[in-house]
Amino acid sequence: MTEAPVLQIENLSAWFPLNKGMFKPATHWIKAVQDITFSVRKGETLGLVGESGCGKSTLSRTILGLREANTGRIVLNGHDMTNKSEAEQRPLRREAQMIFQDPNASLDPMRRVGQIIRAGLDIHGIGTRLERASRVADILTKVGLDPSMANRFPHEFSGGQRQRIGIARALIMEPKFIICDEPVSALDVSIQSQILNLLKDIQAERQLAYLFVSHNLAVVEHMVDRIAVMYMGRIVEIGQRNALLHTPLHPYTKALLSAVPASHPRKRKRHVTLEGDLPSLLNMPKGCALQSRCPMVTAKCKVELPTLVAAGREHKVACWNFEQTTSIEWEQSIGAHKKTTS
Amino acid sequence: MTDASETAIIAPEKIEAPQRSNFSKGLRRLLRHPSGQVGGVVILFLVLCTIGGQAILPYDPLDIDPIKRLRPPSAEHWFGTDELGRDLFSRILYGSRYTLMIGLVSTSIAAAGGIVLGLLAGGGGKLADMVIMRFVDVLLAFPYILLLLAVIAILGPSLWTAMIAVGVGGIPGYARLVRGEVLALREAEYVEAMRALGGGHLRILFGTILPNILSPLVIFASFTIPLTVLAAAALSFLGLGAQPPLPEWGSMLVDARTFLRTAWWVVAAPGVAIFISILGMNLFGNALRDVLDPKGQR
Amino acid sequence: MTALLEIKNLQTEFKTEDGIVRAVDDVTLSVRAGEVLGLVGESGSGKTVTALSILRLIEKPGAIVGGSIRFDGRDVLALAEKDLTELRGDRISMIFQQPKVCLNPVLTVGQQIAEVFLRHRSMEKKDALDQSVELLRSVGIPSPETKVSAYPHELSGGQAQRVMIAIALALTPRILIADEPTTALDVTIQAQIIELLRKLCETTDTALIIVTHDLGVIAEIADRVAVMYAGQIVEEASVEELFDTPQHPYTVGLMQSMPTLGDRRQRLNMIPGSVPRPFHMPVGCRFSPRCRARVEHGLEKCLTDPPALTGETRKLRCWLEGKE
Repeated sequence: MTEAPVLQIENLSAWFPLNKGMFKPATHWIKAVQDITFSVRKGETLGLVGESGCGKSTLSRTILGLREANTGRIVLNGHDMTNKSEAEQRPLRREAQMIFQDPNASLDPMRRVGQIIRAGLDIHGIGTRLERASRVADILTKVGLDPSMANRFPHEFSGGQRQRIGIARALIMEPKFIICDEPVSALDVSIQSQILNLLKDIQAERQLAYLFVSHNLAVVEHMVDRIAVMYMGRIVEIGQRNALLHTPLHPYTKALLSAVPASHPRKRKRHVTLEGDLPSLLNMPKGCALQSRCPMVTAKCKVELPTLVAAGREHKVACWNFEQTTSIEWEQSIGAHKKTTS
Repeated sequence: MTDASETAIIAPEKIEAPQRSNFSKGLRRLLRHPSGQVGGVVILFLVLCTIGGQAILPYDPLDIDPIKRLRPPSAEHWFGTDELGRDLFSRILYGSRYTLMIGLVSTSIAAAGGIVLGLLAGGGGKLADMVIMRFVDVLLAFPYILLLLAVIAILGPSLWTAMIAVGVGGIPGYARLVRGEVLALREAEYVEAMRALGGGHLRILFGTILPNILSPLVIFASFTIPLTVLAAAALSFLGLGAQPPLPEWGSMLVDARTFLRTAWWVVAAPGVAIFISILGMNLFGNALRDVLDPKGQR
Repeated sequence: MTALLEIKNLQTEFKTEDGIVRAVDDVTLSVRAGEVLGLVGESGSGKTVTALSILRLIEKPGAIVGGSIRFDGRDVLALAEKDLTELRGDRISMIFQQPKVCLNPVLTVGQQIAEVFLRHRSMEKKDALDQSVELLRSVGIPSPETKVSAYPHELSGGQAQRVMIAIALALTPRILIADEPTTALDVTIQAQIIELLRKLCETTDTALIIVTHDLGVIAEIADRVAVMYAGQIVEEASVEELFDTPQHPYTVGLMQSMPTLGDRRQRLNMIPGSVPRPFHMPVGCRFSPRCRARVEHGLEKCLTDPPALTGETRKLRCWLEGKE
């Protein structure tokens, strides 16, 4: 517990400029990521959950330095990445790697698998030619592929095998922290569990810290220790897995949970869904971002932005009304809301 | 059930026999494409003529024979003879090497210049992009023939000058194409993956992006090669390219045009040769596009 | 009750340079009015090709090479092109995974719905537009009077899929085929669309064929399920039977490998290997190289002889049947 976290980010924001000209400052900003604070400890997995456009991809890319942060601090393995030049950051970044969503798009089609996996070693000049080749062979075995496959091109592999190659490419750098960006959502169902198990095995063996980005709550529940829920660029709820899944406090988290399809036809239920439209990131309303869709919106929600407040041990939520809403009340209020809309 | 026992009962996934490489697949498709076949035959013929050199020619292309002036096509001289009694068939066959050379050299100059400018513009930051692309715009705004004349004015008229001039004239097109492709590929996940590994700008530009834009480049080149051949022939016709007695097809037309009414074959031979070779290259280019362009396939 | 749609021994093939790929091999299915049939399978299982074959939407180099499709007593494969257009959209309609791609970007939503009425029913333009508004209301589009004149780019993904459903249901078809209708949508939107489809089927007696890779969607909406693997149906059962007692080793594997909310295991069960490639089809049972049950029973037959789909209401394609 006292050990410094592998990744710590504080008040991180990433905005995209709009209408920016050569000599003209931007007139508007798309605030894709706003004021995010969390940390990931050694051997721990933090799940990042949210729907498309909530900012989870931008956040991942900002953490990895693929795009610049507008405000905030990123501390990786005790090294503060803020205000460091790209050259200074590069050696430090070796310890943070990423596994991409679409294994068809994330492997260079013109390169052989061995070259793809070796790329990190080549870039950082690690080892001799022979050493690199043997490390590639080792890592291929580790991820369940035959070392002789190093001479093949990516298109000769199935989706699951390609994702293993992507994992090998990240692992060869011996990182301490890996962002798994929807690592199985592009894979066939029968392959997903292979990859999920592989990721867990590797984590257990190397004490890796994961940031596991996904929209699939069932997968997240299986993989993670803690969960952060994002909505419109902000974290609206963060907490231990069980606490968050069993007693969700934010109306958005509740809606997400309720939307998960039944696991058995006899467990079919009426889904609690959020009505109304998402606000535009360009023109965010004052107050809470969920106000247009929230069934329990109050006057305060429309003027004041709720901040993350402690709601239990390691459980934080950004909602003005979370204390008033036990699950039962939520179901009732949603029922009433439904009746009035339908 | 543990991992070990799982692998024990189920044999690991078999490695399938190596698939045919993309290259040989593409080649097969190209050879099966009708216009690829026609174009391929034309280009192959040009190449064979060039390799064969003087050995395959019935006569010396430069040999003057005043007695045999302006003979019409016959069994002896298939395409007839010109005003100096030179065998036109031999001259046409021999001229194919200049056509190939112009196509390759000019296009190489255009492509090399365009690729460097395009890569720098697309991947080198906002300022580089603006400076390079405005320069390219200026080149494009320049009347093409004036651009060629300017280069020739500097270097003096010769076949090489013509090739360089045509090559320089082709740079803007390549630069624009490459820049566009770079901008599109920059967002590709595998490029992002290289950046996440810490890859530097140049390594990504030349090592990752360039190999992946080769196929649009090849397609583009297959369409510009015939254009460069035409442009060089036009320059030669104006007396600004290949100089007589070089049997370059364009310059052959210069001398021939005075005999248009009296000895049609002197004009027809180089004219038809240019026509067929350009047609062949274009057909081949079409086939190449069908094979390489993923959007053209299903 | 007789079947509305009956597919027997359907075979659909695609010609490629490397040879002929039989994407759908010997598929037999039937759908009754008002029924929701789930067609579940992974990529390459032939589920989408099966769905497209029903409407004869297979284009060259593909072709239906065998079997029969009967809709309402008529032989679909023998229909002339003219009757086929009447069948498509009017009697059987289809919605796809990417609703935005299917909508015409230069026409308003209303124009696109109205067009269906104008083409298939000789209706006044004004009436058609009025109908469109009603239709949009019925699929749960908020303020349909204004949305009717919106262009597709002004719609969110969920709204676009609702519009697609409205277009598909405009002529009250007997069967709606939905090919991965929720895959491209967010979780909360997916739940809404499933709810909508379920409600529409209950109220209109339209049969629904839902094609998906997601067992969760199946559990939510289907009455009966056919599981496809490598171009064949391997198991068919009522949805409750299938989830209670899955019988084919592939179905069992799929169910066990899927993480479900509220059931956290340390490790997920895995189906080893990957889906066979078209030119590397196993000789016997197509699932045999990945089949753990086969190894446990030590059955050699699976490797050499392809099993047939047997059974009356509950069907299974497996040599291990009854060997539990």
